[in-house]
Amino acid sequence: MSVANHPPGQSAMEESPQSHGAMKMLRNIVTTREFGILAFLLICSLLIGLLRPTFLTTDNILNMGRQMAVTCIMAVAMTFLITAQELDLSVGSILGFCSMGMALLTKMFGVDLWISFALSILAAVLLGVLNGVITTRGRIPAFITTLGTLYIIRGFTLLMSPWPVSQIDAPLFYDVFAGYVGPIPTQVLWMLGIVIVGHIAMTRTRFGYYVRATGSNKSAAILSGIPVNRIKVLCFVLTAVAAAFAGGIQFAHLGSVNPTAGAGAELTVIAAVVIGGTALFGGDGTIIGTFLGAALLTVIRNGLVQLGGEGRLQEAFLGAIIIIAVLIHTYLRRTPGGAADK
Amino acid sequence: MESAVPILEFEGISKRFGGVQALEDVSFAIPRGEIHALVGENGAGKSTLIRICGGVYRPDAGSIRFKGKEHVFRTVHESRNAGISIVHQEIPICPDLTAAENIFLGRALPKQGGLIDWREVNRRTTALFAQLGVRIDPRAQAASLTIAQQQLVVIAQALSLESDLLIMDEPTSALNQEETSNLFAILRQLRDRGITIVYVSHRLEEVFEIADSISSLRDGHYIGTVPKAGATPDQIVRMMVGREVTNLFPKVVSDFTPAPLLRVRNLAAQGLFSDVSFDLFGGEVLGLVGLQGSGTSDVLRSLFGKTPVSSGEIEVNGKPAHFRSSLDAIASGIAYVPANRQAEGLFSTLSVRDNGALLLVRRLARALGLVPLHELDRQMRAAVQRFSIRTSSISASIGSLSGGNQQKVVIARSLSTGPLIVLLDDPTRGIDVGAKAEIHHILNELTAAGCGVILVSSELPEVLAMSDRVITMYRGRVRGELGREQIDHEVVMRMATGADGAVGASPAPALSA
Ligand SMILES: Nc1ncnc2c1ncn2[C@@H]1O[C@H](COP(=O)(O)OP(=O)(O)OP(=O)(O)O)[C@@H](O)[C@H]1O
Ligand SMILES: [Mg+2]
Repeated sequence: MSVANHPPGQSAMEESPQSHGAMKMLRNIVTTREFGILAFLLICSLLIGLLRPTFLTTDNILNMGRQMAVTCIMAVAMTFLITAQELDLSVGSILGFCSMGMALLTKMFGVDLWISFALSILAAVLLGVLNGVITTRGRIPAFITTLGTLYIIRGFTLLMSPWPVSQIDAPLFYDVFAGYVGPIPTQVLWMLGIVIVGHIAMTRTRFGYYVRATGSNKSAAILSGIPVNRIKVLCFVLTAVAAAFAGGIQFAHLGSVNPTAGAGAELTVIAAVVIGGTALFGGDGTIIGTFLGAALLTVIRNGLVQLGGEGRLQEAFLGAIIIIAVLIHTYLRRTPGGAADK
Repeated sequence: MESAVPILEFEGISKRFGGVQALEDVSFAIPRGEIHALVGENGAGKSTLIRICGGVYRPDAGSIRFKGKEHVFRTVHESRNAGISIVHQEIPICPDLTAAENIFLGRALPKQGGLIDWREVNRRTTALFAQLGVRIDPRAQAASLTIAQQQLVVIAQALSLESDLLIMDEPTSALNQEETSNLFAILRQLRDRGITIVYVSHRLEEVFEIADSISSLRDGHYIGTVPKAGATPDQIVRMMVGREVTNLFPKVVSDFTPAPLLRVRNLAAQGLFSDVSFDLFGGEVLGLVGLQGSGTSDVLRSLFGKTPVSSGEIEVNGKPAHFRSSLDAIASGIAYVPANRQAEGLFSTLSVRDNGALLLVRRLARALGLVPLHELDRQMRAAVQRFSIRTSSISASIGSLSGGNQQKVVIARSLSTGPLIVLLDDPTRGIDVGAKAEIHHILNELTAAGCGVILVSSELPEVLAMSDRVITMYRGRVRGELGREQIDHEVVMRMATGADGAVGASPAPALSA
């Protein structure tokens, strides 16, 4: 599965005879574009692990898995959107709006939390359609549309409740979204499930194929009969729904929701996507890369805390990581034998 | 069976874009089972008509009858499902997708357990390429293919649909002679199997080689259809242009300067070409002929400082020159017109003036970098006059011009620096006969003024007719050199395809005398 976004390349790997399969497999892994970021992730983890033995314990790894789930889930959907050459800056606001709406419905009107959650997903569908239709029909950049909706949606969230909402009784909900299966947090299971489904959707389904074509050359896609606007709107919807879903998970974990929940999440999410190697200008997206990107962000955050790094320095470090990761991708893409030459 | 019914009939088709009437009341029919050429100047409306057939545009008025049945194609799928497949002009390809993914875009896909079976997609693509004699790895990313290969992918896609009607809008614009004749062989086979082909090209010799009959559009109007048998090129040109263009290649021989303007010795660029030596005299057009990938375009790019030189010497006007960038080359009096107008020549969001005056700005700028706009406008209006660029005004968007006029703007920009040496890479690609002749006149003016010109062209008759001397290249090396009286189509082709048997004939000794 390492040839994440070059599906036709995948078959080459499957076809490789078992005899010298190991060598070939190794080469195939090394030449994928996710390899750079994977290597970077492993090196960072090992370095931190050497300095702090508590870092690479099963407990801490699972803990980091839980920490990254919210970002990663949104980033998987955002990968589709960016691959289709669009962008959503309003994911953080959508997360806040949906989880606040859900909490209020249950708290004030006594609606069952599951139904509130379903309604919040529905609201996200509508918000995604809104973002998508304004962008495609209005022919304005998604950057502008979603910059606007970022403020609008956050405004409504603050209007709904300027104070945090908490103390909602729904044990099953908490168990499903923030419980444990054995030692594994359910957030990690949800995240892995979404990553796998996302990867398959990107590489092996018509939808993923059309998303990549749309982002790669819109007019060629139109000439091939692909409904590019519908594809784009669908990606906006997917992203918004992922944000609402992530909101549910975050709520289950914290047991409360703040009107500022999710503020700034858009940047972390986009960072995870580009660190993972998805082209910011569309056409070329990798879900596995996004997963690794979100993991790298979490490893650095968590690692710096363990190393006793100063909070403010953490931000500076993350910024550097973003630039280094994209430099690595660009370099690998240029080098003969790098992913771009496959 | 019903061969009397034409496969495709246009009835009163009109289409307007804003202020431009692209098609007006176009009615004609295309008989079943022939190769039917559609010709016309840039902006005549050929591509618009084709896009209407393909469900990309909807006509403002009129209708299409396909196989005797009236159709309004609202989507690409409707047209495709009815049995029409189209190769569009602008080589629509998704650079991030593989060749195979491009071939299967928008089509039924082989599936396995509900998921796309890429292995099968690749297998079918391999089979398709083999059948067409195309050597492209189905798994290669489209961005890594040459333009010619990309064009072949697009052609293969259309051919694989096995439609009853195949429409090709300038399918050979990026292909070399060999690839073109391969394509023609396939087209003839298809025709013999009863498939109708509509073929658009600006290359008259192609049209005469392949077509059974020829229809012409001019300024959005249908002019007429003639059978090829009995038609003459002059007649076709008259139908396209509406006036006589007596000489397609109006070559005027000028006097050469005694000393060379440009001396190139043992020039090499890593992996592209090596050991290239020649002299270029003032007043001379030097044709560089070679197949795609033979290095001709790369030599031009190196001479303009765009491709780094790994060894060798360049002398301009007797002085050694080292170009680290295009700016150095421009400063030495060299001008360059790139082959890929859309990607390298045009600023698609800027006006005609801003496209044409870019290099003037530097020269006209005053203190603090302020540019006297009235002077810029004056010079641009003069350029529009000199090169007869047809545009509503110099502030019109470059996109509103036809391809030929866009190209003239690019040429005007390159020449605005008053260069001594002009490098032209395929200056007339995709340009109609009228505009071509005008560009050839510009060539004559340049040589008359004592400039030296190096011409690379995808159209062999053009280089052969316009050059005073021809150097052929094969696989990055100079193959030979022919003076004006020796220039012969067949000889040049043999040298350019490496079929002449000569091994690395170096022109340097002959030249340095
Ligand atoms: N989408 C569009 N918007 C505005 N004007 C257009 C559009 N498409 C075509 N036109 C205009 O319609 C006219 C016909 O264009 P068309 O592309 O059909 O010409 P053509 O015969 O194919 O020319 P060429 O030989 O250069 O390809 C031109 O004046 C062109 O500028
Ligand atoms: Mg056209």
